[in-house]
This record gives sequence, structure tokens and C-alpha cells, in this order.
Amino acid sequence: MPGGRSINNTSKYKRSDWITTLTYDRKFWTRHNVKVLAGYEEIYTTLNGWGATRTGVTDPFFETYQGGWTSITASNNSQGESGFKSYFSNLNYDFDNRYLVSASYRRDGYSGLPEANKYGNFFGGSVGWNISEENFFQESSLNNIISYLKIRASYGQVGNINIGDFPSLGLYGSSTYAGIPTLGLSQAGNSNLKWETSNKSDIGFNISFLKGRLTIEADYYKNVIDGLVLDAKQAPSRGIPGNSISANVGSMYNQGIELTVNAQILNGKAFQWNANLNFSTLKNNVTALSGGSDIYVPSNFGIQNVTREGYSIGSIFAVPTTGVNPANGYRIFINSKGEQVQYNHGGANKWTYVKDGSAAPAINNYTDGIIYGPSLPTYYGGFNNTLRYNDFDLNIGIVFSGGNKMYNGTRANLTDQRYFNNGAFILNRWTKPGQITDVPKLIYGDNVSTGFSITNSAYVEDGSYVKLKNLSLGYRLPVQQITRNAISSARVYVQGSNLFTITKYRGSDPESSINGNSIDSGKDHNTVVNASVLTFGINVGF
Amino acid sequence: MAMKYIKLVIGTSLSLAIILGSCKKNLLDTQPKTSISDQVAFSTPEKILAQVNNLYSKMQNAGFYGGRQILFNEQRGEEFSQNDPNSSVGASVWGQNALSNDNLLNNVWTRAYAAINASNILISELTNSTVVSTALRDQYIGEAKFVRAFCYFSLVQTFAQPFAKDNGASAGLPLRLKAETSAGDNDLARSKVAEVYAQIIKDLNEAETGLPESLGTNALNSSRAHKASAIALKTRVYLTKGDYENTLSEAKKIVPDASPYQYVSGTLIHKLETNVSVVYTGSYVGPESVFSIPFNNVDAPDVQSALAASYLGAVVIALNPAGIVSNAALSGAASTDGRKGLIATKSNQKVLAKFPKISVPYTDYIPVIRYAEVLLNYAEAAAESNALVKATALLNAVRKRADPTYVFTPADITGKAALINTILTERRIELLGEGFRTLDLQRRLQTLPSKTGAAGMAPAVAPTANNYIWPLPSDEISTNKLIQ
Repeated sequence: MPGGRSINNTSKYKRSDWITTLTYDRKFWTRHNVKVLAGYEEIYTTLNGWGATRTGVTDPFFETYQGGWTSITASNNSQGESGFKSYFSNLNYDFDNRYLVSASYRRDGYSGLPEANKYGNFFGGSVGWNISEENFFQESSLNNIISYLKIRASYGQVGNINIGDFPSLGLYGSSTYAGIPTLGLSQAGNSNLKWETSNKSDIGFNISFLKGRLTIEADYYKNVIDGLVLDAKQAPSRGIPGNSISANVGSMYNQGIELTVNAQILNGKAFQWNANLNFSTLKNNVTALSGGSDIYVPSNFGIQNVTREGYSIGSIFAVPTTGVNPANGYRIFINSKGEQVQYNHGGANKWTYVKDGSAAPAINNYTDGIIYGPSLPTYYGGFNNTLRYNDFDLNIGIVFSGGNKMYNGTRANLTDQRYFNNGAFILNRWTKPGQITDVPKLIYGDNVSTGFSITNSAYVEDGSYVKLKNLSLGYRLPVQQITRNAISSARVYVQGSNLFTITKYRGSDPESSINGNSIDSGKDHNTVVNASVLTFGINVGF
Repeated sequence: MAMKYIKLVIGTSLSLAIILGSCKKNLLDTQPKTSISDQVAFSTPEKILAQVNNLYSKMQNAGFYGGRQILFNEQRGEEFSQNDPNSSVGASVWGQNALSNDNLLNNVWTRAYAAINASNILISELTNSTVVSTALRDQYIGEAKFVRAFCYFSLVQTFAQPFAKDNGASAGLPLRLKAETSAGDNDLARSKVAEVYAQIIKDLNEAETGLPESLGTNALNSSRAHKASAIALKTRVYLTKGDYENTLSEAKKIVPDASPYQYVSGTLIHKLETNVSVVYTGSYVGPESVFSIPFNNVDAPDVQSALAASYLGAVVIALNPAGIVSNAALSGAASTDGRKGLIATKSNQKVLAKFPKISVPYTDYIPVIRYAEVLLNYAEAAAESNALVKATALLNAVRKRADPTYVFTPADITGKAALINTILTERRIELLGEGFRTLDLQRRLQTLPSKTGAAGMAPAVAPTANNYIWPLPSDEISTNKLIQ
């Protein structure tokens, strides 16, 4: 029987972007500055991908796609096209660089939206006040300490076209039934699809002290996304392709503060110390979703994330457990009725009530699970220090993040009683009645009480951490004198990254599993950690 | 001054050219080139025929009857031992621990309902269509009803309590009979098991009326439904319901009173193959195939779904030594039964060799309804109705096709209880690996026996246990607020 497989495919992605702008920039009566911009943009994108898979090598000699194979099927074929048009304008005005006002308007059109809703209108505007430019300020004693002060506010709308080429059309796709042509519903259409709009407001100030030795920038922001285009979940019993239809079914917001502080703490001739601190908070909340239907992925790896109305996107999800029953070593789950149910992988009745050992309904990961917290950190930031003493330099970079939960799927994997390696903590497994432990009795094949097939709260952990992300020490060699300027500079250094983490998280790295603002964030299932790297080096300049 | 004026004109016209002369006309009016709009998807006879073939290709999906659903129906029974402990090849299914959130289980539900909706769309589009002749329209609608009935039947056996438990009073399935092509309508409660069965039988009766006797060629008669397919499926549905009287009346439509047992209508013949192995290694579309799922290189199932790979290639599941393979017909040293030849030995394990194409592409056809099954359905219903002579004759027809010289001992076939038991055993031997075992246990409310394998131990599951049937898929629970 010939085996083997060879795949060959190529995709050509082509985008042309035409932008025409007209600017008018003029100063009136010495203190009125006006800048007007009008423009037009066209983007045209095509995707053309084709390929094939050959299987069943005719002779082991052949190792390339072009060699001898017994069968060939098409694979990785794609063809897409989209067009985008925009008329945009912007008006900026300031009086004496003291009062600043701007307004913007754009009208965007996208080919993927239905005829009636192709165009969307988006507005924006901002105001600012350079207080430090005012006479009263410059004449006051404050001016000796504060060198710059500006307060500002802005509001802007942006549309999103990242929704696919033809999301609104009802389409039928063709395939074959043992070689005979077929045609079947491949996408359910939605003629009401319209622009998704994000409305971002921001209010903040910039302040600078002591001729710029200390600067602070602070902002409060709120980004409200309306008409979020999502694959709205359809009941699978409706038989809709992909169990979803593109629709404006979501709303959510991100809000928080952003703070940046830069300081030249010491600025001597021999010794200098610069520090930078940035700190942000993030509150994410999904305010409307798909008629109240949750978004998650059914999986035999359990449900670790659920996006649910009223909660943060991709919140960590698990079935509550009170731990291991000291009497028999079985894990005790709490079902949606608040009853204690234990699991015995080898039992005829796998699920039984703790109270009397009678048969209980199986725990359902979805209906018995609850949300444990956001997978997105609610605060994060960094603290960077650069120190110099004569020819020595030292850089210390610290990052921190917290307020989020993580699902430690790696630990679930290391508890699994099938064919996986186990962690050293397995030594604490339940072995005799009365024993208090958090590792259940080991039963061959068990992948349920171990947090693998059904997520449980024993593996939900706090994802907060502080990490020494970067540390480097360098020394600048006095090479110019030695080599008579043949070498202009030389620096030897030692540098380490991801050196040290303070966290309560029991997995390998609380940083590695956060996939950003997605429904998969906060999942750690054998995720590759950020490597600790130690570098010794020399930089030479000629 | 004049120069400046000219410059201005040139500058303006250049920018106008750039603004107005876009690089593509109708930039915002793009149309897909690889899909057909719903406006024209039923506009020609060819497109409509392709829509009909699409119904079968939905059944053929590897996540459903093109592989997985047949494997799952075997894994929950006792004929196979699981070697591979990976959940992705149904280890949890074999371990009687399929979970609501498992994607495999969600897939079976989703794929079956995709076929149901494709049928609903076709019925709704064709009801008032004049693109094809009335006769063709009735045939196509008949085919859609056959597919819809088949899928509901598979789902109701998997996700609902057996009919026999309480005469179909348990919660069944959401019964979707309308075309679903736009948003809304998520919420629909489950109909009772009896209501689902009633719909299945109604569809099959109407399919029988609308379908032609023959579609012309063996390949078409095997891969698409014709009158005999609908009747044969009805014998299975009635038998599963425990309605022996109707099983008999349907079986009699396609099985004559006396030997030779065959159904002839024009050039169409349904009968047993002379040599049982021809069913699996021959043309696949011989007279025994009342309905089969065909494959070619393009639509062959993936390795984890292919019967050949699971049974014989990777041996994800091997024959359980305590299962039917221990029967003398299949493993007796002196057995001359042709079906013994469909058992092989690999790594000291007995494995099922009915599906021999163990490398990519896995193009073994899947027999879904065979004439042999119809005879066994008939035999069982006859025995249950005390027509023991008739039942014995039908039983012998199946046995002697595989082993012409075999004679049942009197103890095996004397008396109703013994005869039924022998017929059920024959069914296990004949239909091994074809996705019947779990359903045959459940329709008689029998315990799913315990079993062992390299992947562990699967405990026995009593009909009263909550894992006797599969849980509802979590995806349906999270989107359909009326499902309970």
C-alpha cells in the first residue's frame, strides 16, 4: 500500500491603495492657525490562492511534489476580493498655540456590506488647552516649577472592515459526492449587516516639571464598540453552516487609565539615573452578545473560556470543585443546583452524590460551569531604570500585570491518568481514607477529575505577576586612546531577560499564555514559556 | 500670471483624474467567484440535481455517517476494545464517558442537522418550482425526506431514550422541518421520542411514494435513495420501535414469501451476494447494497474517521476477545464461515478486516443498508410474531450464504426465545463493525456490557444510568433556550 503525502500551495495577496489629499495650512492675523485637510482613498484587495495535495507515493524514491504519486486532490484554494472607499476631512484650528480645536468627518464605503448599508459616517473632534502658554501662568510662580502643562479631550469614531469579503450574502458552495457535483448552503446571509463602530473618548493632561526632568502624561479612556460584527451563534439544530451568521450582535467597552512618568532622577556628570514608569488599567465588559448566547468552543479539552454578556471577553470558566473527598479520594464538584457530586472514573456509576453515594446526573462543563474572572489583566505596566556611572551602564526593566485568572491546563495535563507524564505533585495523591490532599485518587484512564476533559476550579489560578524582564550591565572600554581612533567605541556587556518572576501561579510562566484581546486568552495548555536568556557581548564601532 | 494660471489648471485636472478615475469601476460591488448566490442556487435543473447530491454528501461527512457515527455506535457496544486512549479517537465514547462539551459529540449533532436543514431547504425550494418536471420534483423531494428521516433516526437513537423505555414518552429532539437560512429561531423545545418516530415514518412513507423504483444504474441505486431504500429503512425503524407487525408488512414489500429471497423490479435486483466478501471488496454497488455511502479520492474521510484506519490500519479499536469474535463462526478452528475471512490478526489482536483500504485515501464504501440486514430485520420480527418457520428460513438464508453447509443445532432454533437469541447473535456476526451494536442493545433496553482494552476499563452501563444515551451537546444548550 503506498503512503505519503505532499502538499504544494501558493497564495497571492494583492492590495492597492490610492490616497489623494488636499491640505490648506495658513496663519491669520499672526495668532490664528488653520489647517484643513480633505482627501479621498481607495483600497482594492484581492486574494488568489491555489494548491493541491498528492498522496500515495508510487515508489519510495520520490520525495518531492513533482514526483510520482497515485492521487491528487485540490487543497488550500482561495479567492477573495474587496473594495474600500473613503472621503475624509479634517479641520485643525488653534489660537496662539493656546486653544486647540479639531474636527473630523469621514464617509467610508466597504464592498462586503449589503447595498443599503455600504457607507458609514464617522465623526471626531478634540479640544486642548496649553495652560503653560497663558500669560497669567508664565507670570505666576508656578512657572518656575512647571515648565509645560496641557489638558486635552478627544472623541473619535472608527469603522471596522475586518469582517471578511462577503459576510452578508447567502451563498451556496459546490463540492462533490463521490465525484458527482453538489451544491449546498455554505453561508447564511444577513442583509441587515452594517458598519461596526468604535467610539473612543479620551481625556488627559501632560505636565512637565523642572525643565523637563519630570514629565507625567495621564489619560482616561473609554472605547465603546457598537454593532460588533460577530459570528452570531445559531442553535446547531438549525443546521446553518458553521452554526453562525455574521451579524451586528455585540457591544462592549474597554475603559481605564494610562499613566506614564519619566524622570531624570540624577543628572550628575559622573552618575545619571533615568526612570520610566508606565501603568494602565483595563476594564473590559461585553454589554450585548448574540441574543444572550455565550461564545465558546466545545472541546474534549474542556471549556476554559466563555465570552458572556455582562462579563469580560474570554472570561475564565470552570466547574466549581471543593477538592478531594477525604473518605474516598474522588474529586467533588458542585453542580448548578449547588449539590456535591463526586467522580469515580472506574465506577459503574461514575457520578454519585457525596451525601449518599446514589447516582447523580453527570457534571456538564457548560451548564455547571461558572465564570471565575477575566482572562485579560485589569492592570499592567512596566518600570524601567537606566543608570550610568562613568563608563558603566546598568539597565533594569521590570514588568507587572495582574487582576486576571488563568486556567492551568498544563497542570491538568500533568495530572491526567492516560498516557501523559505526571508532575511531582502526583506524590501527594490520595491513598488512604481520611487523607486531606488536593490530588485525587489515581485511576487509570481518568481525564475528568484531573481538570482535562471538564475544567474545574482547582486549576483556576491568579495570573498576577511581577517579572524582571530585562537586566543588563555594560562597560564602555577606553579604546579610542589605545587604538588611536582606529576603533571609535567598544562596549562589553552582560544581559539577561526573563530572569526572575514573583507570582502565585503554579504553571511555568504566567506571561506566556496571555494571547491578548482574544477569546483564547488566559489558556495555558502546555504553552511554551518565555525563555530566560543570558547574553554576554561586545559592541565595537569603527 | 498666465504661467501660474496654467499650472493651476494642470494641477487641478491631475488631481481630479486621480480622484475620479478610480482604478476599478464599481469598487464596492464585488461578487464572490467561488460560491453561488442564493438568488440563483435553484435556477437550473443541473443546480437542483447538485442540491440533491449535496444531501447525501452531508450524510457522507466524516464526522457523521461517513465514519465517526458508525465508529461511535461500535465503541459504545462491547464488540471492540479501545487501544488508543486519545479522546480525539473516541476513547471517552468507548469508556461510556462522552461529555456534553466534547466536540465529537457536538459534531455528530451538527452534521446530522446540517443534512436535515439541507433537506428542508430543498423541500421548500422545490415545492413551488417549475424548473424540473413534476416527476423529478417528487423524486427529489422523496430523496430529501429519506435523508431527513435517516438523520433524525440516527439522532433520536443517540441523544434520546429508546422508544421501548416508555413507548416514546421521553424527550426526543428539536424537530426542525422548515428551511433555516437566516438569523433567528434558535429556541425550539424537544419533541417527544414518539413524535420524532412519527415524523420519520411519515417522511419515509412519503419518500416511498415519491421515489422511483430504480435510478437506472447500480451506482446510482446504491448511492442515492430509491423506493426499496425507503422501505428497507422502514423495516429498521419499525424494528427499533418494537413494532413487529409493521416491520413484517414493510419487509414483505421487498422480500418474497419463499426462497430465493430477492427483490426484482425491472432491471433492479436486490439480493444477497453469493460471496459475502464481495460486499466489501467488490464493486461496492452490487445487488446487496440497498444504500451505501460512496467515496472517491476527493471526499474520502480523514484518518481518525476512516473505518479502515480505525479497525485495521492504526487499530484504534481491536475486536474485544469477549465480544462476538469469540463465536465459533468467526474464530472456531473448523469454521467454514466466509465471515471468518473478514477477521484478521494484527499484533496478536483480532481485528476487523471488512474495510481493507488502510492508506490515504480511505475510499472503502460504507454499507448503510444491506439486503442481509433486511432479512435479519424480517426474521426477528417474524420470530417475535411467532412465525418461527419463516424466521428460521430467513435466518438460514443469511447464515448459509456465508457458510452453505452449516446446520443450526435444534437447541439454537427451537422455541421462540432461543430462535430470537440466535437471530440476534447472527446479526452481531453479520453486521459487525457496521454501526449496529449499541443501537441493537438499546432498542431492547439491554445493559451496555463492561469491557477492557489497552485504554482502560469501561464499566457496564445499565439502561437506568444517565450515560446510557449521550448527553445533549453543550452547543445546543448554550444557544437554544428551550432545550432541556
